[in-house]
Amino acid sequence: MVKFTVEELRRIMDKKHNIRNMSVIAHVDHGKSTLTDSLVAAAGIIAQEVAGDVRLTDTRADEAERGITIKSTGISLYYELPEESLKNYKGEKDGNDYLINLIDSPGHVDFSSEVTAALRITDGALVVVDCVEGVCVQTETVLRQALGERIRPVLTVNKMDRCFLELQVEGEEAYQTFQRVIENANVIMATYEDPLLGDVQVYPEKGTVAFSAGLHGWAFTLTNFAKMYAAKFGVDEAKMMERLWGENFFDPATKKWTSKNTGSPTCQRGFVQFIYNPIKQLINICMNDQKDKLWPMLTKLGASLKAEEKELRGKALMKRVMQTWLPASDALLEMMIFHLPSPAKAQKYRVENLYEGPLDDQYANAIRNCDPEGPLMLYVSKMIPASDKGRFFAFGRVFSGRVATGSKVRIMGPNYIPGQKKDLYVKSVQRTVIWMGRRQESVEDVPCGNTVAMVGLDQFITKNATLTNEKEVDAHPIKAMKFSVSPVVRVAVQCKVASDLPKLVEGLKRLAKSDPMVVCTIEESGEHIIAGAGELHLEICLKDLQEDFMGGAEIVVSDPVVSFRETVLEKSNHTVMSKSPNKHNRLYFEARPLEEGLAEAIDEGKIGPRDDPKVRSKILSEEFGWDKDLAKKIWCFGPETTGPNLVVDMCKGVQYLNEIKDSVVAAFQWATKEGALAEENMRGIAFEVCDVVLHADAIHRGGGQIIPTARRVMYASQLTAKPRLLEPVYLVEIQAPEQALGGIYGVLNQKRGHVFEEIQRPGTPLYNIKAYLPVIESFGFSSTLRAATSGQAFPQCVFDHWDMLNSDPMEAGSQAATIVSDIRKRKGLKDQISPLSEYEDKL
Amino acid sequence: MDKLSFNELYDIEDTASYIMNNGYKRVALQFPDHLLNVSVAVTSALKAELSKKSQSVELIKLYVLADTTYGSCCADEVAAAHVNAECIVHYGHTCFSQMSKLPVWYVFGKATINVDNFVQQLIIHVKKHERRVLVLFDLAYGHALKDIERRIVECQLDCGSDPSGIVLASISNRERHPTMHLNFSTDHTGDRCTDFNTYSCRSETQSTESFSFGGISWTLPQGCKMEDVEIVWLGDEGPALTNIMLTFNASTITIYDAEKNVLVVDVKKQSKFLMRRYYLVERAKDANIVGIVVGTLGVAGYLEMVQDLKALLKQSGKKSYVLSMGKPNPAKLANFPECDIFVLVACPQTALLDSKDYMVPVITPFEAIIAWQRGRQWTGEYLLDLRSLRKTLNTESDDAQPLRAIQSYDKGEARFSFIKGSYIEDNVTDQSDDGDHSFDSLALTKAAEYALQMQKGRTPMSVDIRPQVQSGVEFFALRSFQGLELDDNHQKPIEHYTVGQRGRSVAYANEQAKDLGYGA
Repeated sequence: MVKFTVEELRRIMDKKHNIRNMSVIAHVDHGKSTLTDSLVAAAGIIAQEVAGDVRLTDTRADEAERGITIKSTGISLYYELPEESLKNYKGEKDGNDYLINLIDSPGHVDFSSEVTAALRITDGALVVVDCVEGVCVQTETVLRQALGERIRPVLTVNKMDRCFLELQVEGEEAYQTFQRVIENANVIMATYEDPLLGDVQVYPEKGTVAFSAGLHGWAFTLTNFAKMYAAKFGVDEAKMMERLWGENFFDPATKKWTSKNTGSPTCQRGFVQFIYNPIKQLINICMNDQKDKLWPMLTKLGASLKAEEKELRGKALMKRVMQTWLPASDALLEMMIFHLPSPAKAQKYRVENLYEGPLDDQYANAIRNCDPEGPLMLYVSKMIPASDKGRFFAFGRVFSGRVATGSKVRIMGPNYIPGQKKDLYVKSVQRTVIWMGRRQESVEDVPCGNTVAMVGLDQFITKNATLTNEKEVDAHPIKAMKFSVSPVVRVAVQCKVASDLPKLVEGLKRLAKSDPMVVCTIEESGEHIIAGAGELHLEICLKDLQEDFMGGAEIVVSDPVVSFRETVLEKSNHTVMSKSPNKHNRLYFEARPLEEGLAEAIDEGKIGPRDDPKVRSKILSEEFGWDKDLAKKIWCFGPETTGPNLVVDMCKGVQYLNEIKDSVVAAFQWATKEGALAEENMRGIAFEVCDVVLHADAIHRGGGQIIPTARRVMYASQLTAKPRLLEPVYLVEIQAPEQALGGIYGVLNQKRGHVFEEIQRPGTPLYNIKAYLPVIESFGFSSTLRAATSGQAFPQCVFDHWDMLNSDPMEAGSQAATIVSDIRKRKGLKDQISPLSEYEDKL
Repeated sequence: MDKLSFNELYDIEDTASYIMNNGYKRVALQFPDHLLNVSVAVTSALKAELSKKSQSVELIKLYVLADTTYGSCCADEVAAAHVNAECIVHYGHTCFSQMSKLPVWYVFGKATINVDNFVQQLIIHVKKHERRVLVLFDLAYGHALKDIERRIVECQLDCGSDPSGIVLASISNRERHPTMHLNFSTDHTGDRCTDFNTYSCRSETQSTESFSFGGISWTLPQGCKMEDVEIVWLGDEGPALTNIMLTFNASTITIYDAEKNVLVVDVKKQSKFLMRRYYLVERAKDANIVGIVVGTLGVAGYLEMVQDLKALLKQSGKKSYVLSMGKPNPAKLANFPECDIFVLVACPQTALLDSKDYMVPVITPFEAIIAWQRGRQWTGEYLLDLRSLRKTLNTESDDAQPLRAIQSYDKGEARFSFIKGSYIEDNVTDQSDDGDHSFDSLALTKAAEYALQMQKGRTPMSVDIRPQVQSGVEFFALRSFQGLELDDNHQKPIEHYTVGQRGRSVAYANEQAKDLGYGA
């Protein structure tokens, strides 16, 4: 650990070329945190006073307990490059000391929002891939997210130790495995062609791929070995690097390099010959305690052990030897410094992704140039609970200018529109804080290119915001983050003691603030609902709520609540009519299901209320087979004016129709929000206005008469069109060895899931299984699966689509009817669905 | 049980002597809709009774009032004023709300009850729960009170149990004087509950607590709190029971169904109801435009409450409109689609309107105050009576000094909306800020300008996207229908005429009346 004072740290923060902001991303259990730990152990910055304290990344007890990361944790590393290594560095630099702000992110899909928040404030990413498991779902997801944000990636093939100790594979086989892992990653990256970012693919021979064993604390890039052998062979390093990867073979017998395997038994691939085998040999020697062979070898490699370390045996000895020979921190940090961009470099191209306003105004320029003297532009990406209860640090990145203690800032919230006063506050920063390990240290100011935490703004920032100087009234905000998961799992919480309600309310507010993904709402029935991305996410949220935000007050948590959607299967079997309360107006409606894919298109925003009518009618007629004229007669979308239901005007030449349009629209928003079956949202229903009869006097066809009537007629048309329920379905990805497959299939069958893809990972005994699983069945799925496969299968669930329940909810005793009656009971509605006669009137 | 005679059922004798004793000459008899059929019989019986007592019957005029403008539980002072009545005799269920102008004499009617069975079940209930039980009842069962009391004592003597286990409420005065004669609002800090004339009140003398609620009153024995007792409600489910459930929401309530002779406990319903109201409070916090619906013209303090609400809404930056529409129903309220929420200022038993038929929720003034007064929190306490509500509102503003300090701290802080699940910002208008006055005077012009701009941007094809609006003006400006289009250029020549329908809407001329089900 490097012992540092705040002043020293602050000094490096001014050198914008010597800063690297980066996040560590990977699939769950690929060893991010372990790897980070080994880096921190070597180069982590701690305040001088707390040197020798406990480990820094274990910030939460539950993280350690479960062995997974939950919150992304930031840590600063200090690294001084030796002069000789720097001679190859072409970029701009300012001295030999580097500050690396590293954010360790969670790998579980439930916490992807944490990854999103981490990516926003970093410029580079270290992608960690397990050399055996390869590129997994979450690797792909986060990698795509990173590239979307224009984050430059470098790769490390992790868990090398498994190759040597567990699998004991031969050199060539290992090479093929690594090659495949790197290729898989490159396939994803190749899809992002970006002239500004350049080639983002990774190549071992260029030094953008490292090989590491996080657990044992060693790692290398080809650079390390190239340096070693360059002298020996008398070629330059770059040349040597190329020879150490790819189709380059060396035969020690002939001492010749070839581009093909000559077939002679001594001819081997460069990588195997010069890297894999020496490591393997060394490891074997250590494991077999052949110390007589070890010492001369170590001297040759230039690694010397301390006297007491020489007493170690077996694995411990191996670990120590490898750490001394190939320290992980050196290889990885060097790779980051060489190949990941500094803020000054990254912001040149990231400005387009970041800034919402015109790209030639002074704010865009200041971000582009990472100008510490320019106007302040700061993005707050998350709120971190502070030690004093109820307060939060606003954590973010300074993109330009500097933020100082006591300075006044303009806070532009996510709903801020330039030129308006909405969601805008001017407040002063009480303190600017930087992290020194676990401790926070106040500093005078923080210049651009760095991450910062601020005190005193938490009341005005909800989850994220853009900050700028008080006077910069023309500044546009920085773009809001896009999350890849959505909160679909919901529970109702109640306090055990009624008088704790204020505590619960306060706790929920804080919870909503602390986590970018959680949503705290209240149901019509008055129940407080917490919605999260998955079961695990919710579990963590509830724990936080009770222990941290409510001071341990007891809460009662309901079973998970799943929201359904109401839809229709067919067109209404007849045109239904409802009369207004005064009997002077009649509305004739029909309901029909939307064409396949249309509801999804509306969800994705491909078709929406804000489209140009011509464009919309083109899409509708070409892709969904609508009549061109009809497409122009859409009155509105709903619920919430954007939802996947429509009202279409099918009538011809009806008088006063314009006048009731607003009332029908209001009723439609209301009816689609609370469907006739169980007051769930409707989805994928088109309501067709077939005919209307209106009273000649305007006073008798006002909103009061039309709104309730239109609602009733929509319910009636829904009920006559074979109403059905839609349930949410997860896409589940499971990786497991062959012997666990039986158990997986068993559990999935029992839970109404079905497998639609099963692929064996080439070169591994692992299978990749993709399946659909109804969300309602997913509770306890992970643990059941673990039990059924003796812990070998670990599922990742992401919401995928809505699936129709085949049974008829109107038919007593059917599955859908049971669900409907459960929902109605929970919502405090009367048990039975109201009969059609309540909504439809007879002529 | 003996069948009660007509005169007994409608208290003809007592009513007559009340009129005679007070020397009223013009008396209004108010009947709810379901008792209208007996109104003639009651009037003639009353006349007969009066003529028995006095010779100059001709001088006493009786008027029948029906179809009350607001809830039939309140005495309709306005209707009574049409005939210059000096007092009102109110028949049927009542909420005992304090009236502002006329004295009222209440006739509750008498419902039948099997006293033996009730007492038997009651005693079993007490034994089972080993807690003090408070018996409250619908006013229609008030007549059986003496019987019940006697039976209880008998039973307890039989089995030798503690007589203090059961507390029986009693009916407070059947006669009501208008508030104008009482010293209202002068000394509400001193003895708060000297008159038992308010809808609900609670008073403490040394160690016992007395309550009066909707016409019945009771005193709890020493050292006993409302939270500690079980309530047994004798009567049907209805607004009176709902009110008790809300006000004493810490106690469990058991209902005795007099028709089926069973005791029913329904804890779930009680808490569900309260939670629903809690939700409505949260909804109210998010509202921008509020309709204050005047649902009474008689209940004391309603005008002041309307004023208070208006001030409160102004303070919290919301737009309010006062609406008077008689009994509110979904169709009437739907005529104001711009309102995000309605506050119904009415007597306690009509104020609770919660039906899915309403497009936006209707809340009580109490909930409105909780939602919009800064620093107020939902504590579980629930008040329905307008006068006690105003007291809390005023005491709150009395010590506004420290409160203001908190407010200035709070101001500008984003408020968490549980409806949207995120923090949102309130448009709190700062009244101390003089700079905004110029804006205020131009507000209408600006809004109109804005409206015109919006109008231009809209094509007839555009699909409805409704942004948040802050006032009715903005709402109207955003409506797609703006009146007849008189633009001649776009008027297409009319090509085809069809003859419309004629006749009355129940059955137009071309429709056979009997096809419509109105036949014969």
